[in-house]
Amino acid sequence: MNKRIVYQNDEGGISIIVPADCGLTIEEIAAKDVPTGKAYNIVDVSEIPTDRTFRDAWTWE
Amino acid sequence: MAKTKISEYSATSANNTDISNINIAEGCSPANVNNAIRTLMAQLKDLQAGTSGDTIPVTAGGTGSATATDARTALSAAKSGANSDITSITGLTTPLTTAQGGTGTASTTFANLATNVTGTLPVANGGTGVSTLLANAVLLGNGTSALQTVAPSTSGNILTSNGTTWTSATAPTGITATTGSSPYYGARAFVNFNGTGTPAIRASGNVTSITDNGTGLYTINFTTAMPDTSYTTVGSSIGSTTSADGMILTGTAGGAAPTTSAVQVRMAYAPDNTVTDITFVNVAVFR
Repeated sequence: MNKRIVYQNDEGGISIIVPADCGLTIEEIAAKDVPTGKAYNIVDVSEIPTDRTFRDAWTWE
Repeated sequence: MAKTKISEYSATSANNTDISNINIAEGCSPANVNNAIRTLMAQLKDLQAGTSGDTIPVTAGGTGSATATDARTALSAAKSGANSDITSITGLTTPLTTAQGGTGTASTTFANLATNVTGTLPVANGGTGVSTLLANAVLLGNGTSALQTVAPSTSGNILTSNGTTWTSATAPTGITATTGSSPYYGARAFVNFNGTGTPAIRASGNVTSITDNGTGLYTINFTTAMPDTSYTTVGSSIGSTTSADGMILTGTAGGAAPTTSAVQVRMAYAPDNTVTDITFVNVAVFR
C-alpha cells in the first residue's frame, strides 16, 4: 500500500503509520490506529522523506 | 262435468254417474255399460301412455310430475350420468378406487412411506438418492446425484479438504513434543518490517499497521486486541546488516505502556543504548 497516515504525536514530533496488508482500507486503518482525537493526513509514501538522519526533528505542515 | 280422465273421477261412487258423457247412472241403458267399459279402458291407456295429462302423486308411488326434471325435483333425486346435481357425498362407505380418483382406502394415511412407496427418492425430489447410509459416516453433498459419505476410518483422523472434496485423513502433526508434555503456545501477533529509508512491512499477522514514531521507535497495532496487557513481546534484528549487531528490543523509558490494542517497542544498540533505525525489525507477541 503506497499510502501513509501522518499525525502529530504528544511529544510534538511526527508519527507515521505504515499499513500492513491486513484487508483493511487506509481509511479504516486510520480510524483504528490513529489515537482518538488526533488530526491526521493520508499521504502518498513518496511525500515521506527517505533520509531519516534527522527523523526526530521532522514536522508536518 | 264430463269425466274424461281419471283425475276427474270422484272418490265418492255415487258421484260417478257418467264417463265421457256416457250415462252410467242408475237405470242407464245396457248399451251404455259396454260403451262405458271401453271408454274406461281407453282412459286407463291414456294414463299409462301419459297422454291424458294426469300425473300419479308421490304418495301413490308416482312422481307427481309430467317431466323427468320435475320428477327428480319432486323426489329430491339426482340425475344419473354426468351432472352437476351432486355437490356433496358424505355417506360413502366404500372408498373410491384410485381409478375413480380416490385413494382406494378408508385410511386417512393416504401414502404410507413404509408400505406404499418403493424405490429411492432422488436428491432432486428432496431425497438422498441412496437406500442405506454407512454408519457414523459424514454426509457429503453431490449436486443432484446421490449423497456421498466419508467413513471415520482410523482413530484420530480429521476431515481434510483437498480443495475439491473431503476425506478422512491423518491429522497433521504440527508442533510435537519431543520430550515432556508441557503445552505449546503460538504467537498472537508478529511483524517483520524495514525501519530504514521508507519504513515498510514485509510480513505480519494480526497487525494492521506499525507507527513510526521517530528514530528506532515503533508502535505495533494489533488487528484483534489481546485479551489483556499481560502478554509477552519479543523481538530481534535478525537479518540486518552488521551495523545492527548488538541491537536489542527494549521498552521505552517514559514511553507508552502496552495496551490490549498496541505495544510500543524501541530498537537500541546494546553497548550504549543508542536508538537506531535498522533494516530488519522482528517482533512477536505471545499470550
